[in-house]
Amino acid sequence: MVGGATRTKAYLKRHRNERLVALSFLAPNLIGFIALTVLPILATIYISLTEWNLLKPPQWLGFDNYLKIFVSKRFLQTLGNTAYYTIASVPVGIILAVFLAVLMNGPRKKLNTFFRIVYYLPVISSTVAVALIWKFLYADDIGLFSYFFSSIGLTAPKFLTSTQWSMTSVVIMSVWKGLGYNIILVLAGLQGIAPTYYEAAEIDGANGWDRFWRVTLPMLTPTLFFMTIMSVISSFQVFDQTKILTDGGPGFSSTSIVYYIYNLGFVNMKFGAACTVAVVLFALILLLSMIQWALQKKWVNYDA
Amino acid sequence: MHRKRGSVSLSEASGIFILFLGALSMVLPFLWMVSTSLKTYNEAFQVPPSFIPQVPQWGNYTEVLNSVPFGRFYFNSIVTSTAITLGQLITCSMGAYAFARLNFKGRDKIFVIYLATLMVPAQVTMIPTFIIVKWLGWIDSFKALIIPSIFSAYGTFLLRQFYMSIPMELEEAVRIDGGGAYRCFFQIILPLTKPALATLGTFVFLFFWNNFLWPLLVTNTTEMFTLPMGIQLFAGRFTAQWHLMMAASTMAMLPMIVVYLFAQKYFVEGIAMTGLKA
Amino acid sequence: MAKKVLALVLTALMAISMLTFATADSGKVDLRLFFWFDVTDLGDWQKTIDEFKTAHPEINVIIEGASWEQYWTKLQTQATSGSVADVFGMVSMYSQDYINNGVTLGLGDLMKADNLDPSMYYQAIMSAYSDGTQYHCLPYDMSTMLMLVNKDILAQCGVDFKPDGYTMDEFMAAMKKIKDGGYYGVNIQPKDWAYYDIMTRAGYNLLDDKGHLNLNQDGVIKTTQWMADLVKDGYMPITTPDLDLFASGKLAMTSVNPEWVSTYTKTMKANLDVIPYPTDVAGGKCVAEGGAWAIYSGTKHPKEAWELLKTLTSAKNAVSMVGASHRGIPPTTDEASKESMINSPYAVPHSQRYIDMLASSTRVDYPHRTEVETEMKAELSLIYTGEVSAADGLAEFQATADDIMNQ
Repeated sequence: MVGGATRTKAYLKRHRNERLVALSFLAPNLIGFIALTVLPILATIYISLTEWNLLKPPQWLGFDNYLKIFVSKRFLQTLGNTAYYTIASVPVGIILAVFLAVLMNGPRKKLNTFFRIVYYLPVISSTVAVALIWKFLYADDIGLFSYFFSSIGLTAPKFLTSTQWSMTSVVIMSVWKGLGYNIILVLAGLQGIAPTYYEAAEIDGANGWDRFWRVTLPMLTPTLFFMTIMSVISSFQVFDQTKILTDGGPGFSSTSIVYYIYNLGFVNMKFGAACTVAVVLFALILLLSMIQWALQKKWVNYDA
Repeated sequence: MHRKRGSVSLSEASGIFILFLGALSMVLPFLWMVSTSLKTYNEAFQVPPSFIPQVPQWGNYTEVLNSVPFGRFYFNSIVTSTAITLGQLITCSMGAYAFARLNFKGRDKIFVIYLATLMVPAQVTMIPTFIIVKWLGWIDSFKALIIPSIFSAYGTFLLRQFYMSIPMELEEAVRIDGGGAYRCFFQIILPLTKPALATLGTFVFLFFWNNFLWPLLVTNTTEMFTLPMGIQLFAGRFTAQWHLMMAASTMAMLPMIVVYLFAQKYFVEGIAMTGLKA
Repeated sequence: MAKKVLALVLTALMAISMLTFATADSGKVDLRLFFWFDVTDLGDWQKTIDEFKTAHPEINVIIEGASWEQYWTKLQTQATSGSVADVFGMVSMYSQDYINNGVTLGLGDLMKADNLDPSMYYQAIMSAYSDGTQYHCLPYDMSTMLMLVNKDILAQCGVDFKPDGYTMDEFMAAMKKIKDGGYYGVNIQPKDWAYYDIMTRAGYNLLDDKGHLNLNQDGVIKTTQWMADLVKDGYMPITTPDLDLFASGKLAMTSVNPEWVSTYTKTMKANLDVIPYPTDVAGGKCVAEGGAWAIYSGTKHPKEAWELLKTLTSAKNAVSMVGASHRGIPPTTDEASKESMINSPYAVPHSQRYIDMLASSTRVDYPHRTEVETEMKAELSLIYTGEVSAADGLAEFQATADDIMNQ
């Protein structure tokens, strides 16, 4: 691990500052990036300092929006909902994905292919279509799940119509939908592990479980790092499912923070406030990612 | 550890069993979707829910095709998704190489900014982006659908991680031979990251195939609609025609399955480590 | 400084965008028309639009559509960037926002020039489209709510069908019998203007003297709790209209507007009819909302847009499109309009009732309506699921709503 970082530095030191070459690699990426990604974000920051109903010109407010946010109980509630969503869905999703991917990486090629296809089905479909289907499945009394519960003599929880279960139901659907995607990422990572490492471990006398912990998992860490950061980032931005499954309810219990932003901006026509929440959200995610980035030295293996 | 051919170990069997259970849960909602697409409007809400429609309404599919220009939506979606995928593969693989291997001032700081942009939800940036695109005169054209999406911090990040897990020795060999960054990139990195490229390509294609919010804003006339918007046309103000929407959704899903079937064999190829051992 | 620079840049962008706006010089005028067409709707409007095209060959009508929900997101985005369609759809629930913010074109002069008399429309709805001095939109339909009854279920459970509606006691007795018969009794869980409708019909006044919404009053609380109790006692399922129990014949009564009626009469074989809500109070007012068309204030072709607008909101359209398909109440007061709805192939025996209701109708408009209604929907959903009592819920809602309305 330590060797990896120093070796990169050494490798790079050996080559002169490759600024121009780097620029030629980066140029197409960077130009579009600045024009169509950075610029709108700067505009968002500007708008967060105004009051804007989209129909009349923006009015300058300074930091008023920011002061209001932190005492807004709605903001805190949706932030809490989103945090719960992230904590519930990210670890479960990644652990399940690793577990299933390892099972799918065995010697039986045809079976593996079959499972790969089936598990990827939810990912292929649009969130809208899937959320609609799950809405039917979750329905009280007449949905399929409720049917299953009553056929074994239990009463189903009110998946979408109680404040206790609403967010959890969204989590379940989202984990289900994203599983195939995470599995593919892990599989790609698994494919990248050179067989030589396994052979070396076998020579050392390691059994299946050991091989997993000593070879597979460490070699997977760059992929897992990527998956964790991306999952956290995208979890904090969950929107479609909450809108379609529960419409944020009952009573805001499953309103995610981005749904709150959308509501502020496009329903209540308070785009300034919406941008403010977006900036705060951004700062929060940035903080989390920076923490994860700093921690990567502790557990991520590059070129071990 | 040699087993007799054809026999299955206990751990393997239980593994496969677990996979099967999971697979069933993956498939169930889709069976439901297809079965709803073959029901009548009333039948779609029957309680208890039935999987087999009484009389399969194949006519639902023709009704969808006849009532909206579905073929045009297909075309638009294919062109858009393909162009974006190719564009992203090119710009992201090159950009990721710069971040992973090349040394230049401020490299890591710029990369962090890349990551940071992923953290701003699309719902807010889309208004300023829309204004920019409108100013460029791209509204209601393929340019608006494609160009803003070619530049992806996500793709750059994904590929950077993959590149960084490739051992340096291979590139060092090229450098010793006197080759530059370009040779390293084309000869070594690209071939080795085919699984990653295939992965990224599939994700990107899929994401933009189902992408809804941005095309909604930048297209005005039905001729420029992509598939997700076409499906939404069946959601009326008070009543949604679920059976038709499910039929439309099923049709929208099919090309994706084809793409995936085609791409997923690339996931199988591992890294060829011929001739070079640590 | 940064603010000035950015403002300058944005202004420059807007200016340049207007300069680069190219009109194809084919001699024809391009008119953009934007509406929440769904698959069936376009079919209905198509006739009227085609007639217009034949009558005006020098105008090229470009049709732009989106589904209902997305329409508003898109409209606001377009309004921000000055690219709204020349003629666009509007509804009475949101019209004041757009009028007050200058998105719509005032129609006063155009109406005068053509001698268009606003009294050809029901005055009940026109206040939503006025800015105090002139009108900004013209209506193409109106809507209010009634209860649609599946008479077959009633017959099966031994309940008498009362075409003029039930008293509260009669209604609850009917509910019990229907539940015993194995069906759901009723589905009314209104969360927006349909909620106002129930309250005003029960005789409550929802606006206080400041013109603000006040739901924290005894009668409203009692009625809301009654609806929540219907769920608790098993007469009412908590499902959204998506999961259509009425269509699958498991629900005896549901609340509907005319468009819903036509959907059900098209797809169900049962005997259906409409009745008023159960009440012990006579003479309550109904709330009327509806759809309209407006012209963009920044349109380059006001005269052509006006021609199109008149066609879309004409009495002829009301008869042939709105009434005939039973998608709404024709907003025009002439006899032909009234009859078109009653004679529609999708009407029920008492469709007349929708029109009669308009004789005593009112509107519930107050400042920051959309924002308050977001809170209202959330609170009502909690009340209907029984997690909070109507008294507590409405009190809490009122506190939040007062803050919003006092902004």
